[in-house]
Amino acid sequence: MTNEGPLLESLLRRLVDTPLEFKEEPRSGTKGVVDVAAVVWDTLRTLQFERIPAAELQSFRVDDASLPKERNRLRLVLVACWLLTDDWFLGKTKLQRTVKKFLISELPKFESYFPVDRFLHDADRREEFARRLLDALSLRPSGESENQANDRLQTLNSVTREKVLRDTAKAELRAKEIREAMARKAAEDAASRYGE
Amino acid sequence: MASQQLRELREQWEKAWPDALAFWSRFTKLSDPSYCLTITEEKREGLSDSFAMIRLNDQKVVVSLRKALDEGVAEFAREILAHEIGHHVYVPANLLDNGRMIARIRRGLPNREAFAPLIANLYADLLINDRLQRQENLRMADVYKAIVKPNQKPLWKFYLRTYEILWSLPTGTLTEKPIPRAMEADAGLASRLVRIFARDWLEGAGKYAVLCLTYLLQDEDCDPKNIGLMMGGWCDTLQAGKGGSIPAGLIDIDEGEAGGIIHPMFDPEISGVDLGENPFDAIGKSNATGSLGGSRGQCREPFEYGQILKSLGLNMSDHDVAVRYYRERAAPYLVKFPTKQIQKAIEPQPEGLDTWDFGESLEKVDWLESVMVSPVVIPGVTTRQRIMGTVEGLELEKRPVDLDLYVDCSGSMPNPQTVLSPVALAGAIIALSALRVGSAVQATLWSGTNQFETTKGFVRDTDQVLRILTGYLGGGTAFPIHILRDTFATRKKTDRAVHVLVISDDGVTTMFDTDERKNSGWKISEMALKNGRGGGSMILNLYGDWQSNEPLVKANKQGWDIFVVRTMPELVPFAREFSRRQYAREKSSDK
Repeated sequence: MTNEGPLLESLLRRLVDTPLEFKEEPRSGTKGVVDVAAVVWDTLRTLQFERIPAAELQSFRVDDASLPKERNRLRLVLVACWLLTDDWFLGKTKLQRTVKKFLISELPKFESYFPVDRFLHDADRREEFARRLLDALSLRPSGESENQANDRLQTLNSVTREKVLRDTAKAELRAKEIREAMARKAAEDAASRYGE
Repeated sequence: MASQQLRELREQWEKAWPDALAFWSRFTKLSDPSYCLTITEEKREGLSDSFAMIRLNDQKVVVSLRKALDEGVAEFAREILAHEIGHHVYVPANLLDNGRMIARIRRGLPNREAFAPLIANLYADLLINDRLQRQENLRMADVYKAIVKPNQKPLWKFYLRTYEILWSLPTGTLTEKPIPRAMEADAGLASRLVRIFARDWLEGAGKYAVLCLTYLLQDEDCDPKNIGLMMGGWCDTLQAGKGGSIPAGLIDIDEGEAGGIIHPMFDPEISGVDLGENPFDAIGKSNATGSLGGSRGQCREPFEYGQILKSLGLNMSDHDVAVRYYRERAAPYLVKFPTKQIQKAIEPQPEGLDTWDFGESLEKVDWLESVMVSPVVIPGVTTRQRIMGTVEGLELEKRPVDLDLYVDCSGSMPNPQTVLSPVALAGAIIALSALRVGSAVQATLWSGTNQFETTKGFVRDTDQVLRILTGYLGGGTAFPIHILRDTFATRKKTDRAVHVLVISDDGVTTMFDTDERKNSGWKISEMALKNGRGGGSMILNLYGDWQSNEPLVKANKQGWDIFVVRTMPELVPFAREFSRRQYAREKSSDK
């Protein structure tokens, strides 16, 4: 997050306006509509990056059998490509390596937290996705300090949140019976005290 | 005396009021706020632990400019006034919705119900402030920066962290670092809850309470009486209902009131995580189905109703609450109470003219007849008035039957102020039905020997009758035979007919014992039915059938209608049957 990036609001607006074409089903063998590898190729060319070797595009092509497992990742790649074609990124060739890394190896790490059909309708998750993209490119939103950007990303971090919630849920479940007993006791006490 | 500084401040706040109203709507109409400049004025307005508050009964905003200055928020006139207006137009907006919100929050706070008004206040503030900060660009965050103090309690810290997340403020802007991981997660859930339920805010109230419960339980020293001061001195809805009247509808339990009380972490819509387990309703359901105090069916128990009213800031005794409770619950079941047809006694008939003189009502002057005597009107000399006589009428008049009500409150009867007493409710139905058609009611609450309260005669005051009906003495069982005897011994045929109603359990048979003058109770009850001419009924909370109880069989033969009401489902058939029998009695007596 060492460098200042685009305005966060413009990226969030762009996510809200994601065109239907970028939400179409990824092509795999005989199924689907959008060739994700072609979209990645076009995106990198639009950004005026160097040509990506064909071998590196293989991760964006899947067969029918693996599509169900890879479907959300590929759809998320399409959304990321839409976000990356924001005017601010045009010609930022220094980001070439990190953009590729984001699409190929970073995004699969957290894609399960961003089901495309749902996260585009969730303001917090949209912001987290945009911040994760900027973070992967060592950028911070324009107007924010490094600390502020880090703090906000940590606040929104779905991975951390799920871990904490799962830990807390165990304790919550253990407390369930205690609370039920407390609730009953409270009702009994209140009934017996009432009118004293 | 208010200082010049405070008077100038008042002018600034008065100027800010129209702007604050416009943040909600150009058409918002509220009376101007009351600005307190001195402690005396604050006391007069009932403002104690806060620099601002609302009153829902007269839709008023009250601000202590003295305290606002002390707390360092005097410069935020628009923010604070817009916030207070938000309580009037958004959350909770009225006393009923405030009560419904508190009812849900109470379910989410087992053993910490006393904090329900505070949590309701915090939840409402979150909803209002988030809207004002994000949509109206008001400086709500700066208000909180001004009022936060060191040594933040867990609940307060969790609450402030929620604001930081909602408004993308760096950690530590309002809170004291460090923030525990679990608190961070809870604040995240709270912030999402506020956004998700911004429109349907009542639905989110119980869930928010469950989130807060964790922090109330963590803090053993937490005291609902002084927590307001600790939390920045801005608790503005705690006394919102003070001095107001009880809103109708709070007895009913909202659909989903108990079912919706889950920890937000288990709601994937809020947490974004499907935790797999399904501990839904862990808290709400247990409150809803408990053996005691559980609000079974669609209505609350009297004690729970009373606690909600007290949480609203309404200062009422348990007895007052019970009166209101039974009145509201009886309303849907009111029956046709018997009346007797009699020949209308009088009809007016003009009988001639007389001189109108000074000292008599001016309306009585018959001006036409007066000017016919002399075109020059001389008061007391030429003025005439019409003399009206009466003749026996030909039309029939319906005259209501009065009600003589005896309510058993011995130890074997349930206390109607604590739990719903179906027999007391049945009594309320009959008493209110009687009062509705113009009957007068004599109500007597009785328990052991010489333990009784009575209205001392037939009255038309609903509250007085219901206070007797919902009273509780909890002693032995001895029917006040002497009251029954004295009521009917001297009753004349020209007096109104009276229906005698006894509410009791198997202790009702004490009415057939001998009185203090060694008169037989059987004779007295026979005399009462005869002289009352309106019949008699018993509503009994019996375990078995009355047909197997020898004295009751005998009483039935004497003319007493006997109804067994043990549970709520028996109430409607009772009301129907009572109405049918009285109607049949009325028809036969008319013939």
